[in-house]
Amino acid sequence: MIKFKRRPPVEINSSSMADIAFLLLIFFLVTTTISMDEGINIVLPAGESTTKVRDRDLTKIIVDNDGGAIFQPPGGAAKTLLNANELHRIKSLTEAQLMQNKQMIFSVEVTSKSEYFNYVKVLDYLKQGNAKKIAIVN
Amino acid sequence: MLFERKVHATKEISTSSLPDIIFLLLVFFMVVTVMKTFDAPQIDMPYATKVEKLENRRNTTFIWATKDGFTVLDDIQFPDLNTGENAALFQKKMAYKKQQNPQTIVSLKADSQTKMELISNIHTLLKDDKVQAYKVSYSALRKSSE
Repeated sequence: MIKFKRRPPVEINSSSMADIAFLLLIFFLVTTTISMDEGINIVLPAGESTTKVRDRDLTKIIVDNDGGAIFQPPGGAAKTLLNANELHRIKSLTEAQLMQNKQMIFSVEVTSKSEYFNYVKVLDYLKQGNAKKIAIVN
Repeated sequence: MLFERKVHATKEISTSSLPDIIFLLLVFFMVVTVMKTFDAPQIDMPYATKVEKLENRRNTTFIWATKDGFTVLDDIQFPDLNTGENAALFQKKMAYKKQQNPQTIVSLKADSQTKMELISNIHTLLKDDKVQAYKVSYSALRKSSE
């Protein structure tokens, strides 16, 4: 009796292929960093639009070249002079103004030679003090 | 004489299509990932506490403002926005972007030491009737609250 030998099928075992692909996928998922952009959001006023604001609803913050600021509440109230290291007081001053008047608008005026980070600092402290209405004076 | 044939049914679930599925996933992620297509200038961004995340990167237009007074919008450098020619080109480019996507939010990536004169210039150009890009985000790095 003749016996035929069964030949094993000639195939490359691809069962580990899935593992390799998974490994690649996980590697890319772990190493990919998606940079989320964050910032202080504002909405600029339209073109040449002007809105009349009552004096008693307007607090002015004037930032000078050295990074100091003047916090001028409405109605001839005493203004507060802040040097560059005292800008954090804007937060408490803002909260105090909002306690008196919830409709208060905070107008930020920055001199042209002033540096950008002072402006961002002032905006940040205003936002920390929960100021919702912020006007930018160019 | 009856021959009984044995049925050789495999009990394993075929995993031969698994690599295809995984590769499909890989390709999907590669396709949907948006890569930056322009080079950004070196800037040192300010820090802030009350920063908010930008909703959608697809709606975001990035403007860089360096401390040397350079402005960059989509790989186009504007050495001085005070000159009429530069300002006109800047507005034209911005107006086109706003027209293409009315939801555009401008992310202003300015150096800490950039003078406010340049920032005011950018504000004026963005507010212009030709552009009308009012939504601005001052890009800042998050710092823990004081």
